Amino acid sequence: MGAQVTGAEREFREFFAAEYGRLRGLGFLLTGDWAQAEELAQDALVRTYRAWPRVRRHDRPGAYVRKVLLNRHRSLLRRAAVEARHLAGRRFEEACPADLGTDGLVLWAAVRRLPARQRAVLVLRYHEDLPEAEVARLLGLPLGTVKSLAHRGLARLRGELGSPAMEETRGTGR
Amino acid sequence: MIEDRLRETFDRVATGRPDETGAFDRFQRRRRADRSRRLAGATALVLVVAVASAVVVPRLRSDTPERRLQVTGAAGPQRWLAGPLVADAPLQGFQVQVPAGWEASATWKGIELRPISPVLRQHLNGPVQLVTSILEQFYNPAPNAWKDGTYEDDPDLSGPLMPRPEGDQSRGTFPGDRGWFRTDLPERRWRTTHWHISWPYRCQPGVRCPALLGLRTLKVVYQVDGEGAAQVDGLAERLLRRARPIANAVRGQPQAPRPDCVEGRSMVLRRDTDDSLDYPGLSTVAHFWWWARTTANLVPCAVRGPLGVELLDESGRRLDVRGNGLTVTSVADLPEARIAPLRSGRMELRLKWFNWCHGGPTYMRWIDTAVPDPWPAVPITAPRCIDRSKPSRLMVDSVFR
Repeated sequence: MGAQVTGAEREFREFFAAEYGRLRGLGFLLTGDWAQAEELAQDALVRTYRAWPRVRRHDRPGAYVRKVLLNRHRSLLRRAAVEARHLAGRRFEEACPADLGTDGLVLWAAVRRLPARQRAVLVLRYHEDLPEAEVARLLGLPLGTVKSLAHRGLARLRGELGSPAMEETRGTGR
Repeated sequence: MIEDRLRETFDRVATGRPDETGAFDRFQRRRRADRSRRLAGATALVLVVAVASAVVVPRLRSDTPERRLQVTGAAGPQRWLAGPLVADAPLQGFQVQVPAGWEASATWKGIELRPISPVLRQHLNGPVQLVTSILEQFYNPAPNAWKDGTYEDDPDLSGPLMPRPEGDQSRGTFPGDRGWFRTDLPERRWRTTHWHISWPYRCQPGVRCPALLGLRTLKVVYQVDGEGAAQVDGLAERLLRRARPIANAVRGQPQAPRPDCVEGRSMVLRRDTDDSLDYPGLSTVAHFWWWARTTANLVPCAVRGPLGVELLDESGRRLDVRGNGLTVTSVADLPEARIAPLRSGRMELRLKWFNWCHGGPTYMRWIDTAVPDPWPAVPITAPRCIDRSKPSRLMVDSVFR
């Protein structure tokens, strides 16, 4: 029994080392704040640890912890004050990575102005490379809503960037 | 492509993170604090349960020989009542006896049961659910229930309506010639069972009743391991054999008041605009529409609204459009509502906006109470200017139910 517990602990340490950075990155893309990202990642891992005897048998324990993180993020957003800070792009200056380049900075600023659900959908689609059905499952939204949020999110980013090439794409893509 | 630029930016942003040193130590401290908190909570809970067992439960049992569990579909904290008791679920159209040794709790779509014995509880992965569902003709134990003359004919009904049920399939009849259909899907330790009997939904007299509703079933769903299987299978069979139809499962019976449909739970309400289908600047009408699919588990609910849109300028002020902010209430009852020629349980509300001659950026915002948070305003392509002397108008185009 003792050996089994040690094995599970060791597995969890490996899991932690493999997932932590990625979770924190996901948390940052969702919140725009490294402190909140760390909080989300730590919280998700503590909750996953509680269920580890069950989760370690999953095919994809990484998907489980990601779902926990997204649920925690959603709970945070329900608090109006947090969302207001989030939407206002809090601490944008200190949160900006230095090596994004001008285009990247403009795009990242536009992403940060998106409503929380649109932003979450785009992060899961284009950072995590998840199919729309999986995004819908993780966010607990209907598939049609996810499609609509992605469409509107991209349209809004195009609109905010406003480059002629983008306008042309928008005009002919209909 | 904006998608590629987005991918690249996300990658750079997410990898430009500050130092992670000490993350696992912080995690360990946090985990220990979490464990202490949970232990304290569990101790308090044990005390509460002990007091309740000693005082409250015996009193409940002695005062109410036939206690009842009412399933109303309302949200609220989960509350477990020990059997024996009678559970009434008028929205799902069933009444069942919960036997001694089990406790039950109401959910929005039916009831959940769990054994009082902690030993048996270890052999179940989650509660046993008794809910309504839908099963297409090929699998349905009463595939012709909708042909009794009280439903609308639907020649398309024999096609596939849903994904193929997973697992080993079996069929049989209970005493009294009531047919059943069952699937068992073994997966590692647990076996997932869905066990159905026919439970047709009866519309109120005078209401068009889509044929699909005749294919409603009452089903028990559970995940059990090998050691608990005999006891839980026995409970499931008992529930299905003794379930009594009430309310919308009995022709001519009055139906229970319907709760409001809740987005993402009892229904999926899709909102969309048609403007993106037109070429910019050529659009003569901007359409805004809602489309509600049949309710999950065929649990009845009412799409009460208000549903509408408001058209805004860049600063969030309403545009000068006649009917701007227009809303519609009492849109439809689900799962009866329908739009021909589609199958049952769908409603559609469509609004249209035309003749916009003032230019400038235009935005729209959905007005609906089915979601907890207000919708954000989003850019919208305005319709073409047709006649400057006439007002711009927003109006109801159609309501299908």
